[in-house]
Amino acid sequence: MPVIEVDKNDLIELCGIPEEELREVLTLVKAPIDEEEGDAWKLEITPDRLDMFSPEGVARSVKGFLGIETEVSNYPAIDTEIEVKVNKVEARPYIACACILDVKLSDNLIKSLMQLQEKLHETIGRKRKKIAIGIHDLDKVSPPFEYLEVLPDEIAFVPLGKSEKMTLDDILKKHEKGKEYSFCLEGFKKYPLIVDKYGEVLSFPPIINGELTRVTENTKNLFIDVTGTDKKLVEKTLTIVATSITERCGKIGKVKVGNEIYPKLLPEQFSIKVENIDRVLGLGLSEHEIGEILKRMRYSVIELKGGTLRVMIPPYRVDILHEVDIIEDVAIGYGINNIKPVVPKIPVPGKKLPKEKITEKIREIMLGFGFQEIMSFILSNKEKQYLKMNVSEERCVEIENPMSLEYTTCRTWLLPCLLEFLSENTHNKYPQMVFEIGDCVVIDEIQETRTRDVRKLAGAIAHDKANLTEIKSIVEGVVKELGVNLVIKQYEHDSFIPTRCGEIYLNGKSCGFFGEIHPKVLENWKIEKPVVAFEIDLTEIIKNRKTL
Amino acid sequence: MYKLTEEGKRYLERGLPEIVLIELIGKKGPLRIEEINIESKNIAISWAKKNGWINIEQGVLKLTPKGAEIIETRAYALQSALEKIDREGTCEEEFLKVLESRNLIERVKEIPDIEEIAQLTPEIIISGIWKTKPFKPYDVYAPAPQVYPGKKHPYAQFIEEVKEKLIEMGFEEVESPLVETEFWNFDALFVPQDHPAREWHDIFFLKNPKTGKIPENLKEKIKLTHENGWITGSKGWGIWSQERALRLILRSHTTTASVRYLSKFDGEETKVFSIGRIFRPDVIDRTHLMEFDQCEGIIVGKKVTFRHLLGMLKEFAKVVLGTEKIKFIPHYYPFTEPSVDMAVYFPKLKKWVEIVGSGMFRPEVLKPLGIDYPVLAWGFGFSRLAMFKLEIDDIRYLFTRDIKFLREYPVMKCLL
Repeated sequence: MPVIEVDKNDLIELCGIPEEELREVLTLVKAPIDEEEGDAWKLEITPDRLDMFSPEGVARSVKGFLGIETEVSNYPAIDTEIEVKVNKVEARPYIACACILDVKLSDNLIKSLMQLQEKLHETIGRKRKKIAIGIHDLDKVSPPFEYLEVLPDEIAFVPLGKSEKMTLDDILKKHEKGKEYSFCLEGFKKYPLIVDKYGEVLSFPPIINGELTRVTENTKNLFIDVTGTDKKLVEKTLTIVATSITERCGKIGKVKVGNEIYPKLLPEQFSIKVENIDRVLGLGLSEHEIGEILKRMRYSVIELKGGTLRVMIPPYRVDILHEVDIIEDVAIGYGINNIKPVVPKIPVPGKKLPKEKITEKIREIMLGFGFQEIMSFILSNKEKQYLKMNVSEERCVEIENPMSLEYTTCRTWLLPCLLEFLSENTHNKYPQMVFEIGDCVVIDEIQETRTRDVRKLAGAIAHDKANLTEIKSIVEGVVKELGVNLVIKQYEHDSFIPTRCGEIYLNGKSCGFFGEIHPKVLENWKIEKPVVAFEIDLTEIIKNRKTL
Repeated sequence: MYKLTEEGKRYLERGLPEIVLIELIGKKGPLRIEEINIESKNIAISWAKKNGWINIEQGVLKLTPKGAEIIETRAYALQSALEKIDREGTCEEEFLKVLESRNLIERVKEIPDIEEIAQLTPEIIISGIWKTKPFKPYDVYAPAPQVYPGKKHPYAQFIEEVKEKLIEMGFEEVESPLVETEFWNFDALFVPQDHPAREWHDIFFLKNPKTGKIPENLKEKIKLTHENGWITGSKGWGIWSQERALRLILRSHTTTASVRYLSKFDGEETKVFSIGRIFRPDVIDRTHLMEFDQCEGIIVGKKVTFRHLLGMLKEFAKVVLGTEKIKFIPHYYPFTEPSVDMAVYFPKLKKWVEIVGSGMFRPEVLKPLGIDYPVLAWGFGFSRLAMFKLEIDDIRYLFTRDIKFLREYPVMKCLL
């Protein structure tokens, strides 16, 4: 969940309400306080509300919710002469720009702007690949501007924070931001650039701005560029940034970009039937009540005949895909905690999966024999699963992007988990009797997922005199309770001592094995006591009891 | 002390076989061996002969004078000894030897001449000596060695407890595979293919096997829903590729179980749940694991609304968490709208914790699956709840490899 940091006092001032009230409302408008340290509040913003990634955006929602300022804002916008000529730029075909005039760049606004930019890059911007934002001091450059693509070594400029000119190629290879974001331009022969009338570089999107247009507290007029690969999102992002700033100060200056005029501030319209709202929420609200609620959620609303509302969506909202998104806002505006819950009456009986019922029964048998249950991770690795067990590698599920070498595969059997457990308890009291019932994942090409989950049972006993007879008694005791026919056959398994291992046949199918663990395996696990163990695949048992 | 064996008891009642034999001959006169029909015939013959009571000539048994006299005087010394042992526990030395060799009597272990009773033994109980001797005083404060019962894992117990509660609430358990296609894990839930939650840092992708299969009948509908909203009334996301849909991953939530269930929905109102392992690439620490469990469920009802969703959550809090101190917080999930979280007050932690996420499945999720009813969905981080309930402050203990911890964790602490 994205978290934004705001200065408590700044937010209180923007909202114009007392602190206590603000604290409460924040939770109700999808911006709860996650952490606080002195005056610094960290607000958790749900990722659908990109327009609330700034204190200005949060304040806009809070004021609406409380009825201080309702409906879609009329943002002050004037026409300017500023134009951006747009050329074909393969890496990032879309660009939208706007000016914010007469701004007062307070500390709070600068911080907020930087944070908004960063959060938008992280989320909807997909690390600048989809969307990137540049903010400039308009007065340092001369319009008209031009968006174009150039060869990597064609142009050099002083990037933000540096004093020397660098070519685009150099920036990608040597500049820290260049290295971080070069992946966005991978595979393109030419790189995007925004220049002014004299060829001075404003920005090398999505990598870095020029030092020339650095924004300082003395900046009076801002120029914003948004570039990207999705036209709609480029436009929306520009609107979010422009309206967010204007909530605090300044006025929007429109810019002609190619054939379009930006930013786009005209609300989108949506017709929605009152009965649809009621079908979802069940609140029985009238057209008028819904209208009033939506106005507080910063929509503008016109009531139409026939139980329909025409809803004007604020231009900065990107999350309205469907009428249910507006319906949710009705619920939020009504106050979710004001809604009277009704317990649904659907008279159906509860039921456990047969597999789980059987698992519970088997667990009881093992407990009856005095075994302690353990639970392990399904994730494992080949060393533990095969190498340390002295067996050859099996085909298994392998992870492409493991977090550590410790967890790279899914387990195909449980015995290694038990031995790992015993290996970490050599200092604890013996005898140790442990078991696990859990899922393993095996390759099965005919399945939709080309794998199959297999429930298995394994048990192990470790003490000075653990032997074959002891574990055989347990296996026979367990199987007797399962109500299946057991046949034991001599078996060769490299984890066990030769001749001291049996294969378990249940109803004529090979389902597992038991025996004395080979000292070689014990040595691999650094276990110094004899260990006897068994493992049974429960698939057959579960299949036979499907009707349970 | 001696007592009679089973055989001894029998002869006490019926007479020793050699006596039975000579009394028979005494009555009927000499008899051929084959004419004799008594119990323990061979023993009888051999002892009667040994005692000099009979002669055997050409297969015919006759009484000797000694034998005749014995019958006359009824001087059956051994029989008397048997009776005496039964009465008094002993008899003359010479008879003891014979009777013992014939397994008719056995020695009762001697009770040592004890002053007080320490360990109670079968002999002490049988002999009745406990009636006369005092018990040695024992110290109940003396330390006893520790023994460990075979126990369920606390976390497994907790899972069972929650399951019971959900079943009480009328939910039926369903399941889905651990390895999933992105199609089921995300696409079917209307999570856009370029959503950050589908990136490498949030999902375990598989190297082997790499891709799975997806059902043809759903593919087209879900593709169109993503591309342009299809007939769902949505704008869609504008993107969808089959390549991404086929990718195999370790499932990142159990909502896949609900969606898979809905894809086979039969039209009846229903309530289902699942509890299962899910996987996320995280660095393991006190609050993070790479795999943990999630519990989630759905209610499919013809006329269920958002109010029912809140009602369900309220009941859930009451039945499963045992609290009515709850509040609802608006939230966002890509596959539900409206979405809401339920926070529960934990008195021990003295704080509100958002424990259940929920919402109504979006039309973009339901329409392609052919579901016309509203579906209420809820889910919660099962492992996190288990931590609160089991009072474990380090999530790693849910999968601990410390047998001491498991041995010492009291069963009663796992009760919900």
